[in-house]
Amino acid sequence: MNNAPIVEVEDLAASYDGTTYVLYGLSFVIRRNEVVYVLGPNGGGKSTLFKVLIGSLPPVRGTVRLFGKPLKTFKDWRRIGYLPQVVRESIPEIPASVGELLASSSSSASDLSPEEALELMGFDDVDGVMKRRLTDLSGGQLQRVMIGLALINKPELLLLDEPTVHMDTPGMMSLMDVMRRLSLEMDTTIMLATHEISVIPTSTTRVLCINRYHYYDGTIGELVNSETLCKIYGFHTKLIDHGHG
Amino acid sequence: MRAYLAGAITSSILSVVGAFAVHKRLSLLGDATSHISFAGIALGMILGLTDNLLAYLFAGLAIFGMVWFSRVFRLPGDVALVIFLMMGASLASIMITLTGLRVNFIGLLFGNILAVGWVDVLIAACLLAATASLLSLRFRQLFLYVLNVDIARLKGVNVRLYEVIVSLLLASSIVTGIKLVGVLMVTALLVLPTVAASALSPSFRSSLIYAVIISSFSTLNGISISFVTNVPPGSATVVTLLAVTIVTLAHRRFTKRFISAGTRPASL
Ligand SMILES: Nc1ncnc2c1ncn2[C@@H]1O[C@H](COP(=O)(O)OP(=O)(O)O)[C@@H](O)[C@H]1O
Ligand SMILES: [Mg+2]
Repeated sequence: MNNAPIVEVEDLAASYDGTTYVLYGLSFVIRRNEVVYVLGPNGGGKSTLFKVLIGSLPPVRGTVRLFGKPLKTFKDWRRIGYLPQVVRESIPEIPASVGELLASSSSSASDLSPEEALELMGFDDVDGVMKRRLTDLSGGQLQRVMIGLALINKPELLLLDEPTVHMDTPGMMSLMDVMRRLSLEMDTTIMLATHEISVIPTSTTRVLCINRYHYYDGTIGELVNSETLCKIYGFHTKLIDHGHG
Repeated sequence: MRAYLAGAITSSILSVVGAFAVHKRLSLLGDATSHISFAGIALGMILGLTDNLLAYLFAGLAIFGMVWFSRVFRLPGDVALVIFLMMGASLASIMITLTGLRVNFIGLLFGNILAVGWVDVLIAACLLAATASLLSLRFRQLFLYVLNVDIARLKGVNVRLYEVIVSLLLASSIVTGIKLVGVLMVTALLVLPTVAASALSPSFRSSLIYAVIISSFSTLNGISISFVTNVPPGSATVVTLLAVTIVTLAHRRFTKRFISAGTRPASL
């Protein structure tokens, strides 16, 4: 049970207009407790994969299973936490306070409280932040609040689309720390999409590289030493060691 | 008296429902819908109907039609809006010509509060009661629905259902608003209170309350002005609303700059 498959994708094809494929022939399995980085250039299809996984873009081909259940019949969406890409643009300019936003999702006793979610996301002045309007937050703050919203229901699967955009290095490090704690303490399975190789913490981290019809699934260490990287990024890329993790 | 009551109720419901239209970036939906229901009213008059049933029907069809239209033909939302807006305007003008201009054309375009009957007041009151109870019972769900439909759905909100409910409320409140301020300006009552309230409010909940206060005040003020002067009440209302909106927007700009220059918590 402990390494039960959480996400199973087989021969997936996805398309927005029904004529051009954004993804084609993608297969992978992610098991409980895994932290997988979904890596690839802009336009490679990372966000599209997430949209398929949250059920907002039906696949044109292949099978997707979540927690062992086919996507079509899967109903238990509260088990999944999701951070959309370009957070600022994916929510309207609504005059909501941070507290109001988090309280809207903290509805059962097993959920985190808004304060706990903010603390987990590294906010010091929790009471002050609760009263602030979403429109008045900086990009990095909004990003952290929205990640807090994604994990407030203690989801078993967390899908974060470009969570490190707008974050400085300390912010990024503490996010990675939170991810590690979630996977260790709560058995959370995490998929984190990014186009920046530099955020990947260790050379043994599993990466799922996606560039349209070219895929790679393995550790980042092996990827960097292989020919695949060139194919996926379309040019030669060098891994810069940032020394974190 | 009836004018004041109708004004307060209708503007309240339009401002609350309008918040959802504005935040869903569908501000012009009201405009298109009001023009389509304009055609409905004109058709009703040709057929000799006395009630506004066709107007409500047309408004409802317009909203769902636009959603369907932009989905099927893969059009951006605003293009679908313009198509329906023009469809409504042209159909209405054709039908009004067919009636031989017997219709109170000016009243339809710019509003005629004296034509508001007790039935209209009753319908508006029912709508307001429905909206208020929905908001108090399902605030969390409505909030998440406005925020982001993907996130809302993952958190267990039946997004489709709320889409239908909000669309129906939008359609029916627009029809009640047409009598008050007319086809051309009902969008103002839908959109401006939310714009003004959003500039003032620290939270979504309070923005809805501010929107109701601002729009009721503007409407009552507009009706009063029209009793004293000879200005039509609808126009006086919209002018008041515009003034309030501009003042609040200026206020927000000014104070926002003040805050960011002065107090920023150290931890941020
Ligand atoms: N809503 C959409 N409609 C049509 N095409 C889209 C849409 N979203 C993304 N695409 C296209 O799908 C491809 C993959 O995009 P995306 O999944 O966002 O990539 P990534 O997240 O890796 O940057 C791009 O070519 C993009 O233009
Ligand atoms: Mg993306």
